Amino acid sequence: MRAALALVGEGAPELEIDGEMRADAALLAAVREAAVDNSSLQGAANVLIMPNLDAANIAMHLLTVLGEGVTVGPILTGLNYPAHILPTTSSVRRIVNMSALAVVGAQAR
Amino acid sequence: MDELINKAALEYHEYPRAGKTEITATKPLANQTDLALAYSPGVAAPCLVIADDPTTAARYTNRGNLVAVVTNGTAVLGLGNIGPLAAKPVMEGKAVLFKKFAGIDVFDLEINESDPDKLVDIIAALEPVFHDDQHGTAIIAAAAIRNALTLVDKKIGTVKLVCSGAGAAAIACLKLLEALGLERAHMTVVDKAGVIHAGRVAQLDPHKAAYARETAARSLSDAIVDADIFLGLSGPGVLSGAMVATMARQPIVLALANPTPEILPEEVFAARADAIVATGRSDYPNQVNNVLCFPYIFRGALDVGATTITEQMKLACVEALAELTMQEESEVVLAAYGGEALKFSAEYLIPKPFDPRLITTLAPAVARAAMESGVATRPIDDLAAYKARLSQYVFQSVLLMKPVFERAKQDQRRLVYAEGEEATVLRAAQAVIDDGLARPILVGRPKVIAQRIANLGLRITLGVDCEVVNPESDHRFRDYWTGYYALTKRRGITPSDARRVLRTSSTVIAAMFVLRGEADALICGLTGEYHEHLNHLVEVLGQAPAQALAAISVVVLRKGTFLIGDTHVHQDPDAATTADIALAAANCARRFGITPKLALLSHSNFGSS
Repeated sequence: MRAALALVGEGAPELEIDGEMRADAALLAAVREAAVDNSSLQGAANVLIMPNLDAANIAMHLLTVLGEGVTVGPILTGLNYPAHILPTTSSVRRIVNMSALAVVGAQAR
Repeated sequence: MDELINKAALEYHEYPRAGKTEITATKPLANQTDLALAYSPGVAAPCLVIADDPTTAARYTNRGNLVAVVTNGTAVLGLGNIGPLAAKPVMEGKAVLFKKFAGIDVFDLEINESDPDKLVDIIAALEPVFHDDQHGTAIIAAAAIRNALTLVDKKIGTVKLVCSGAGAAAIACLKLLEALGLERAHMTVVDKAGVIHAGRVAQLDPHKAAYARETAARSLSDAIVDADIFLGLSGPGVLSGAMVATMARQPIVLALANPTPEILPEEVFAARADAIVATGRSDYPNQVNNVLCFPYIFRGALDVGATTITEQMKLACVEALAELTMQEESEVVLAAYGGEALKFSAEYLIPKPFDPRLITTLAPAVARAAMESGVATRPIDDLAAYKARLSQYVFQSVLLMKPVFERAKQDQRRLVYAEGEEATVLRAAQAVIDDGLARPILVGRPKVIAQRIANLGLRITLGVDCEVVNPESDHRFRDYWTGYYALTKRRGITPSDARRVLRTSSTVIAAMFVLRGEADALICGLTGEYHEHLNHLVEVLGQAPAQALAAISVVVLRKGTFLIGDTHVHQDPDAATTADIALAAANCARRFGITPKLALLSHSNFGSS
């Protein structure tokens, strides 16, 4: 993770990013400040980059169910054209949301 | 109302649990100690402190973030006198808007008392009181008029206004406009009996009588001649095109009766192409909607402990709305809404209800005005820090997708669904067609799709509302498989393999559609395995240079919106891939208008373990 941090720092020095850190330190500034001085990250993080797919996927589902939230996505990036692969269990609302995102992605091309 | 909306609205209110709001506990109640602190005996401590010094209530209770929304149900929206119980869904709706737009907690109080004097006594015990339907509308209407006058280059001190309607909302508008500098002598008010003129004073209540004028005009058509502004807070169809034709140059028409305005915008423009029009409706530009201000007025008022809502606070709101409309859009708003529609113009007089800058602009302006008018019991020293704190309320679920939908509608594209036979896809396609989000293309057998549309009770007409691609017989099949073969032959795919893949993978068909420019984007994955789809997409569409493939999921929670990556593509990314995922996720955040703040997560803190 620290190697990744260095690479992001080279590619996008203006980005507000720090790591590696635990999830509580990411979301609670006080916990983070207790662990490290002058983090480049201020306040609560809103983009959480996980060490692997299992962590990311599990965190997403835990948050959505326990937090009684909704997910939008997964948003697929890195192809030459806007295309999204949705879960087989997708609700109508998820498909509609992703449809709108796909259209906006096509507009931006 | 549309039968489908009716049914959907009832279901929305009933499931998964009755109603739209709940009360949540904000402190843990995990053990005996918590119980002793929360209730008996510990609760006595804050009670005694508050009894001694009432201002500490905001410190020890939720009072500083709590609003009561009160009605007796005698004049509900466009529904009239439906009684307090039937008004509860509207009150809960108001509570939801307060909560979602400004983080404010609401108790909705439906009071079964129709005697106005008794009702006033009851409500007076709940101070401070703000009549949002009146004052909210007045603030937005005043902002629209102020901005429209700038646009047509007229001075507020010299313009003539005709107001149709003399109810509480109309009077609230006129008072605020007067405070903005519109001369009362230049206002002509017309009620059901005609122009309110000096000869009628004896029969009028004092609120109306204050606007009586010495004038020969007796009807709206008399009064409207040479008027600069028409303000309608009355009923449908009151103003005619012929009347608009007699107004002064570049007339401003606010037709705010709901749901049918005093005059429809197209009728105004037919009579006068140079007019500027605002209505109460969301399907025309310039919607005068009090959701633009009431959550933020209360946010500002609560945060400084305002004892009342002063005229200065309302004026501050008008000024802030004006400023917000005319200022250059921030990068955030541009990213979220897309460019041109938001340039200050005759079609964009006031901000849109989902503009994320509303809370960070209006609430501090109201707070400052409350402090300046001496009604703030808890003044804020650092308004800049306060403004930064307010941004936490922005970008909750309601704000996330709305701008995306608006942008999609502005410039529809062709969207191909690989699994066009799936029931959820068909339902979604119906919604996409109804909302005008995209022009769908369905991959699937037309007979099967038509049968399912009928079974599901949908209204899609194949070939009209959407195109269908039959993988068994499409005339372009040869082009597709040869195209696919050309892309993959270097990897040992034979022509017969290519034909077989095209027959069995609807994702490849959809991807070929996009590659050949017959569709602009695609949705797939409703059947089958993620990586199988991904492999097909990569081989047909190709990877963008210098970017990693990544799947970013957005989780929308009460506490905020979080982007998580990579939830689907890379099992065990190395440092370089993780860095690329981080950059992709940051870009995704920006596309939603969210300023990205990234954390690289682990089980340890900065190498601590």
